[in-house]
Amino acid sequence: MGSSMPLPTDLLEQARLLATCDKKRPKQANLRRAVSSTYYALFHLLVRDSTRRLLRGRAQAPFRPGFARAFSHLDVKRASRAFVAGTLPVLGAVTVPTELKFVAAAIVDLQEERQRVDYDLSTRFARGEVLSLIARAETAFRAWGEVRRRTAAHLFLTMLLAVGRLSNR
Amino acid sequence: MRTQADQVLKKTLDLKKLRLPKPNRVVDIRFKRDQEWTGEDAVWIWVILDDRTPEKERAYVKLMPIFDAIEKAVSASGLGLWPHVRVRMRSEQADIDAGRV
Repeated sequence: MGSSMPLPTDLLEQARLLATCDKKRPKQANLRRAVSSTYYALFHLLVRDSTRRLLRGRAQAPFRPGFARAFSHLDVKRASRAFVAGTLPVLGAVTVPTELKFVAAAIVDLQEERQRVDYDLSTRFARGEVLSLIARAETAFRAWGEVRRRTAAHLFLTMLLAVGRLSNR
Repeated sequence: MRTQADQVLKKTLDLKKLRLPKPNRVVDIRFKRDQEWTGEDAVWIWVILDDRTPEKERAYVKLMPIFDAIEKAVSASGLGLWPHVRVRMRSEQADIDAGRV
């Protein structure tokens, strides 16, 4: 089974390639795929760290790729919006570090744009806005690197899976 | 059909009244209310930059204070809309307006 370790950074790199490969007026297809890759870069970064946290150690490592399929885009959105607001279902108010709030807001925003590029053919995209979305994801990667070992980040990773169940209580 | 929310957003995002950090190369702001894929109401906002904006001023870290100011203004408007802020160059917006893309 291949390692998925470089996937998030590879997706981000792919996004930038797609957004800049057309010398003159960029193709909508390339811009749309770039946005999609950008979202999935951040999504897989967070899913990777969440599965590592939940399935620790070498013995459980083979199960992580399959386990990653347990994450839903809806729950990622719900959890992220809750962390931006600083209030979690059932658990109540939490202190959220600025870097984590940035990551959570970024994934909500990128997810929304991923939906639009894939399904909304009435909207046109410009290279400038796609590049700013990629830059936002790159900044989110750095912010995540700074905050990922903190307690709030650990809670965030767990909530990516658990928020749906807690929201229904 | 223009709604009350659109009128509030028009006032909130009026470039002359919006206190964006200076210096900036913002020449226009466009917005559109819509629904997110899960049904929540939101607003998409495009910050239009002058085409002569130097590369280093287009860097995300330079634009972040502008995005923050806009997001704060939308939050303060009381409409409860999640702001999705984007940036475009003036010529890109012109191409989109003219249907060239």
